Amino acid sequence: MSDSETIKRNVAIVREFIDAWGAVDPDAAMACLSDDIVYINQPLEPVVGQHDVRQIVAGIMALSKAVNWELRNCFGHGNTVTTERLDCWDFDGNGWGLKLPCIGMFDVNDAGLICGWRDYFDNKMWFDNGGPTLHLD
Amino acid sequence: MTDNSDAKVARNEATVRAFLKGWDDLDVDACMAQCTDNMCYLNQPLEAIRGKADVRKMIASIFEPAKRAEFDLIHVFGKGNRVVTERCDKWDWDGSNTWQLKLHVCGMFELTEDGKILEWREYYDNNNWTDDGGPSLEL
Repeated sequence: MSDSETIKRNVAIVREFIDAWGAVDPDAAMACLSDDIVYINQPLEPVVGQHDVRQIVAGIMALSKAVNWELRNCFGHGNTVTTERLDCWDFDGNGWGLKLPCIGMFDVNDAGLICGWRDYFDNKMWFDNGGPTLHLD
Repeated sequence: MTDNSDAKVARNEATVRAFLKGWDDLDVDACMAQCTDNMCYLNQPLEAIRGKADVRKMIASIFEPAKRAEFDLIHVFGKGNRVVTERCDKWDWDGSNTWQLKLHVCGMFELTEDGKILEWREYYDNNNWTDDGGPSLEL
């Protein structure tokens, strides 16, 4: 695979992952992630592995009535893809109660699965506007 | 991608690296030399700071209490007029030769056709900044 083909493949899996959030579909989201996925909501502790990451992802989705991650920018280099986003969340059925500006950096492994996911955003904005826990209990 | 666009991206990345080097050196002139007159500096989700004079004032007021800064660049890459930087920004506020603040941050830069920084959008945890000694980010 040429560099540009790899980047194209990596961008496609990241877009698929973001679409899974829009569909509020934890199975579709988890299918994009490797078994050894490392998920970091900076500056919180990393969450590692399919089992634990699924718990967080499914937990957030269970509390979401609707989700739409608007992609402002999405491009890749090497094994990494950046996504600049406005994540729109409806937690109570009353519309987008939270519009969270965010950048997510994704590392994609040789098999084409996301193995690193680092989100950068203001945690206070997330929690003050209805965002659920980002820790495992 | 054509050679031309590769060259443009490389030039833009060099501009952004020069801008960030200005932070390592706490040199506001070096920073501002990379920016347009109408540049916009946005610390999400705070108010945007617009125009060279106000951005200079903001950056200078961050440098004022800083003894040392070092920005570790984890990823720097671009496409078209945009460059993303994933960083760990380290700050020494008290001169103890330790880093009291290590801020995990992503910055997205938009550049003009002639390679100056027009917009800079930073994404990070604001409490992480303020709790570990970061000064006000409002004018």
